[in-house]
Amino acid sequence: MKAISLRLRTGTTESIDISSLRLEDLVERTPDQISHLVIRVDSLSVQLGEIFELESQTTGDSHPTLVLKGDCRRVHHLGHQHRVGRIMVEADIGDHCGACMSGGSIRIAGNAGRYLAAPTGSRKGGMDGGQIVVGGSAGDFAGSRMRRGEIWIAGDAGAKVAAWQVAGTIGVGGVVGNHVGYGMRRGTLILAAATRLPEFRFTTPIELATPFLALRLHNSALRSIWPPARPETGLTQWFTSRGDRSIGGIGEVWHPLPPPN
Amino acid sequence: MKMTRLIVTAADRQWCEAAAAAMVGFGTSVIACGVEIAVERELAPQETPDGRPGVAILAFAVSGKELEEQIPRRAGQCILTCPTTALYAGLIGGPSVYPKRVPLGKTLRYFGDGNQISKQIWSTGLGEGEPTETEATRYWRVPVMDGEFVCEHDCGRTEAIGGGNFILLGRSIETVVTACRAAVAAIAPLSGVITPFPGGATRSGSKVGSKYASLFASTNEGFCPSLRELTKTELPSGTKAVLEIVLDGASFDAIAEAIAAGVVAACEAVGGDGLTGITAGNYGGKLGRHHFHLHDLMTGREA
Repeated sequence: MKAISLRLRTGTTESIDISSLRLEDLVERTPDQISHLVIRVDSLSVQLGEIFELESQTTGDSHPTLVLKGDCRRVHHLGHQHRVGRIMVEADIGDHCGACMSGGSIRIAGNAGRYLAAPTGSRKGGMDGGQIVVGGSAGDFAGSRMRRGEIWIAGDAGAKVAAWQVAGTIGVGGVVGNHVGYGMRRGTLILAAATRLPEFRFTTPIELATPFLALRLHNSALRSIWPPARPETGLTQWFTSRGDRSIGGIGEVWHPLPPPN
Repeated sequence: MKMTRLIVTAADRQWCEAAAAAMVGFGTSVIACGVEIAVERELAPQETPDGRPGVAILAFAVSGKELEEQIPRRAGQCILTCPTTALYAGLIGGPSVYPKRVPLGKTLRYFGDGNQISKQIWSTGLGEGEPTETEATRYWRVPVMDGEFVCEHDCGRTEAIGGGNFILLGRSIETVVTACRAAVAAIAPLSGVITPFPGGATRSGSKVGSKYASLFASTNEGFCPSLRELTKTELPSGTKAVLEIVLDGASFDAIAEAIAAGVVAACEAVGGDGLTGITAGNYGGKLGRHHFHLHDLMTGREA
């Protein structure tokens, strides 16, 4: 299968929208065809080859791979409607990464911008499958309206993480911003840092007693991508709160018990 | 035969064995039990999905439909009800590997009465040595009085072989029992094979059919010592008791290996003075297309 590498040309300072790129489409094209694809840079239509240096090679993998290299903080909508294969970002990525994705995986070595896996445009549904791993931190609205899949953030998350979450799993290794789980209906939010949840929106924490805890957190695959799952963190006792009760939601937030007031 | 493999775990070995014993109860023969089901082997905590003590169970049925009816029914009454247990698929592979599925949590989740939680765990090709395919496994978390019953959504089923057998002929029941127990003990640690009858053996070895139209199977006169003067017997002189060990297995090789191990162990346990012979039932070829020829299996082995 094909592995495609895009390196952002140095000196690019504009906002780049690559929502038109689909990995499953890219693998069907020749390098020349790919470099002539049109993307949006600020308000202009520009050929991909003018913004990115392209490399393409055939590998032994059964699934296609797209690798983004360089400082991609201004590259937005990566993995829009991503469905098959893996996308790897070697540094930071911009906003709306993984919007409307329904399968495959995205791994970001650095930080992700705002609206990670959140809906975009007029769409109401967020991420609908697959897995996103962020080695750094994520901005506001991470996992908003998520319906299915997994997001694992090793660092911090901004405001409104898991807002209006419908299903799926989000793990955050660091601290979270305001309005955590706002409007959450179902799904699971795992917070490795002690977090005080608003009492009018979430139930009083109770100890989490389920074999699923080990099934979910104590497996080698997760430990390799999400540091809080590793034994050396000492996170053995978890509590769960259900909410957002203000809208009748029964989502669950796993967290270590915060210290008393 | 159609086969599936299940993994039952519990907080401790005692609950695990209690659940497994209930699950495999009344599962000796497809003739009247629906499935032939037994514990394949114990699993150490590091071998189970949730890191707790477990057992692997193999279940065989004559049709996929029968398996799909029997397994959820037994799991609902025997695993769901047993404190601290969880139930997982034992055949590793999603629908892309085993397209035909046996429902587990897919059926049992309704016990949660709307409070059940569905969770999918995604495997990806992100880590070294992991499969490159991205595929989710769905689990159900059903609230129960000791916490949560965790159950995988479904389990694959596959083609397998049932009815492998060998028959121990002896000079006394004590001798045959000793040989039989040694054989079953030798088979027990082997993977992919079970001996579903009580203690691994049956005294009611049967032939296919009966003089009574309603019966699928009836006593095998040729191996009944008490009928040796009445019917055409297949017993060597001096034979006073006969026991049959029946095996179901995931593959021909698994059964063949188990038969060979059992025969060797039986012979070593009692020696030539105790057994008058070891044979197998082929029922005129009516039992199935797989034939295990004992002479071929034992060639090159010493006992």
